[in-house]
Amino acid sequence: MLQLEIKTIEKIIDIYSNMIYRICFVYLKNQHDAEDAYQDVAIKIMEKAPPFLNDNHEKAWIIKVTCNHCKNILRLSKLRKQAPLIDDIHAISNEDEQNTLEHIMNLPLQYRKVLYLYYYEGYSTKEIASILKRRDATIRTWLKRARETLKKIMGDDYEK
Amino acid sequence: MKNRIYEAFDGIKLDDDIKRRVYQSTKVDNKKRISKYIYSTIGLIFTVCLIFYIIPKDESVPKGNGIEILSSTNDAPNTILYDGNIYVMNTELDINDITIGDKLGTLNQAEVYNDLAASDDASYSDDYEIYASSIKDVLIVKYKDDLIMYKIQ
Repeated sequence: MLQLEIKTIEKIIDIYSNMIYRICFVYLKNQHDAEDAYQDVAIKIMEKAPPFLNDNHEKAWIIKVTCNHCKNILRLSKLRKQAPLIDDIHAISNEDEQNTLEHIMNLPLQYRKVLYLYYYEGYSTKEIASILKRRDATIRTWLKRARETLKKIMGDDYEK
Repeated sequence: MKNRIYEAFDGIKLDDDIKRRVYQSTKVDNKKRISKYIYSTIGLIFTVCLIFYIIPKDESVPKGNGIEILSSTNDAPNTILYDGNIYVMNTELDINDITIGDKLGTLNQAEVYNDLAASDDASYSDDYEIYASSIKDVLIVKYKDDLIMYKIQ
């Protein structure tokens, strides 16, 4: 049964669609899988979203649900021994952005996650630790290594 | 670099068609929810009706208004015929131990017999009200301010 009113669902989809899709993409590295995962997560939100305390709670809950759903997909694809494909992102027209994103997508999953939540969503390392249920120190280490790896891969481009 | 990472992620955008598809599915799901609600309400009403239909009726107290008084003392008859059963006045039970139930009827122009066998010796009486009781096979007859208990013979 749907727990939320139709207007609330539409509001959530409107506000968080791109965020959900981006997280799915960060996890699955594949446009089509990310689109499928986005639809599944949207339905999950409709069916299972509890009443939220505030907007922060709502956003954090949606991020958590999306991460968990993507983890399940990855687990299943591992079971099926299918490696996820790295897709071109057709929506990106800027070559620089495309290159940067490709480099980010070549990083290990935990680095991609923290880069997204830190640089794009603007969460602090403490908040990321709470969402991903990891220690703050772990998140800071992942972030540092992500930056270092990116710097190594991108070379001079990193400083631009 | 911070801006470049931000812009790179910003370039990932969901196709509007997919967003629209999800919007549509919320509407479909809402319709499904309404029809589910209607079906479950109908199902519930049907189940309640079925339970009330199946539940064994309380047979301890005879019901109906086919009441005849067969013989009487001066004010109250000592025998009444009710729903095919003969009830006789009972003085052993204490009225305080009995809960009076629903009113079953009023004995308008009740037939009163001095002699049960002589059916042509009948007279008529009004104002006898019959009530069910908490004890099986016991009826309460109210006549003016008196309550009289009758037990099946």
